[in-house]
Amino acid sequence: MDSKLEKALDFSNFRQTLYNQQQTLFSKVEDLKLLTYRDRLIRTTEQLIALTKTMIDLEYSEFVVDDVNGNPVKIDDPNDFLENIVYTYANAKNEHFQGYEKIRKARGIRSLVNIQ
Amino acid sequence: MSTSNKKGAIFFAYNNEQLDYVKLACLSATSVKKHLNLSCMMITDSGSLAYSDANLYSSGIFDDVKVYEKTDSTENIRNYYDTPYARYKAQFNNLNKHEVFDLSPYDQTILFDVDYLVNNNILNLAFNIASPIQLYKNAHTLKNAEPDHIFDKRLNDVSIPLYWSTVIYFNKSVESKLFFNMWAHVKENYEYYQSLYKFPEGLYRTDFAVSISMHLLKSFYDCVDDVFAELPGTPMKYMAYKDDIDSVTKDGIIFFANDQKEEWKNILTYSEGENLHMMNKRAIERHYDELMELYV
Repeated sequence: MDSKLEKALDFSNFRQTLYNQQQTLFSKVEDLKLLTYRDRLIRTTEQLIALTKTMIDLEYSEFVVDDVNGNPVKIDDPNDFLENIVYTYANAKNEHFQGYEKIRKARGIRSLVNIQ
Repeated sequence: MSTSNKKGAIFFAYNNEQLDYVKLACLSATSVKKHLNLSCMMITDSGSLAYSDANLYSSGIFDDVKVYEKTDSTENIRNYYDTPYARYKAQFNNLNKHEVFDLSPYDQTILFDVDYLVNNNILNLAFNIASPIQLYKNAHTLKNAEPDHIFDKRLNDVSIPLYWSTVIYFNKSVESKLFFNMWAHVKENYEYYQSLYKFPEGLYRTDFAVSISMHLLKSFYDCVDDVFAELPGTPMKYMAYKDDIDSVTKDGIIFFANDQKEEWKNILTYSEGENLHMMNKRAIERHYDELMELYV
C-alpha cells in the first residue's frame, strides 16, 4: 500500500473516530438535559427555558408543558421549575463545551481516545 | 407511584461452566453503589457462592445475598463470543429473572444484568417517574449506531420491536405484578410464542420474553405508554460480543469497536460517564481489576 493511501486511510480512521466521539458526547449531554418534575421526565431545552421565563413575566401562576413522551405536565411553581431547568441545562451544556474542547484539540486518535 | 423510600438494585448471578457470574455481579454492584448509591442484593445459588471468591461478595458490596436455588434445569445453551476470534458455548442459567417481583425486598427496584456497568446517575431519575415498569427499547453500539443484528432490534425482520431485559425498573404495584405474571406466562409457553412471533427456536432469551410481554400488555400495539415505559437515558449503549477492551484509564474505558462486515477491522472508542451493557464477558474478566478501580 503506498504511503499516500495509508495517510488517507489513517485520516479517515481519525475522522471516523472523531465523529464517533462527538456522537458519544452528544448522547451523554442529551441524558444530562433530563430531569424529573412532578413524577414526569422532562428534557430541558432553550425553548422550554424561554417559555417558562415568559410565563413568569406574564405572571402565570401555572402553565402546561410536554414531557419526553409528549404528554402534558402542569407546572404549578414556575419559579422553582425555572431554577431547576436552567441549572440542569447549564450543567449539561457546560459538560458539552468541555468535552467538545477536548475533542477539538485532539490531533490524533491517541489523544481522541485518551491513550496515555 | 410508591411513596415508600425503600429503593434497591438486584442482581441474579448463576454461574455456568464458563463464566463466574457472581464475580461479574460484584463489579456491576460496585458501579451501582458508586453512582446510584443504592442498596444491592444478589440472588444466586449455593454452587455459585461456593465457587466464587467469598472475600469479594462478602466485602460489603452486597447488602443482602439470597440463596435461591435454580428450579428450572432446562437445557438452554447459548453461543458466546469473545472478539471475532473466539467462541464458546455455555448453559445460560438466568431463567428465573421473572420471579424478581416476589423476591425483591424493596418498594422500588432496578433489576440489573451482571454485565451492566453504571457510570452516571441518570438511572436515579427512574425512581421519580410515575411509571411502574421501565426498560430499554432502543440500543446503540459503541459506534453510536443501531445494532448490526436484526435480533437485537426485532424478534424477526418484520416483527415487534425488542425490549431489553438488561435493566428493568419496577415498583410493587398492580401493574408491575401484571408485567411479571405475563413474563412468567410467556416463559411457560415459550414454544407457542416462538411459533406465533416467528423467531428462531432454541435459546430462551429473556429479552424476547419481555418484548412479547410488553406487546401483549399494550394490546398488541407498539405505542408510547406511561405505564410500561422506557428508562430515562435511552438508547442503551452496549459493547457487543465481538468488541474488546483495549485498556481502562482512571476515568473511562478504551474499546476496540469491531466492524461486523469486516471483522479484522476495529476502531478505537473511548467511553467515560456512560452506562454500558458489556456483552463480552471475557473482556470484563481480562480487565476486571482495572474496571474495579473505576468504582473504588
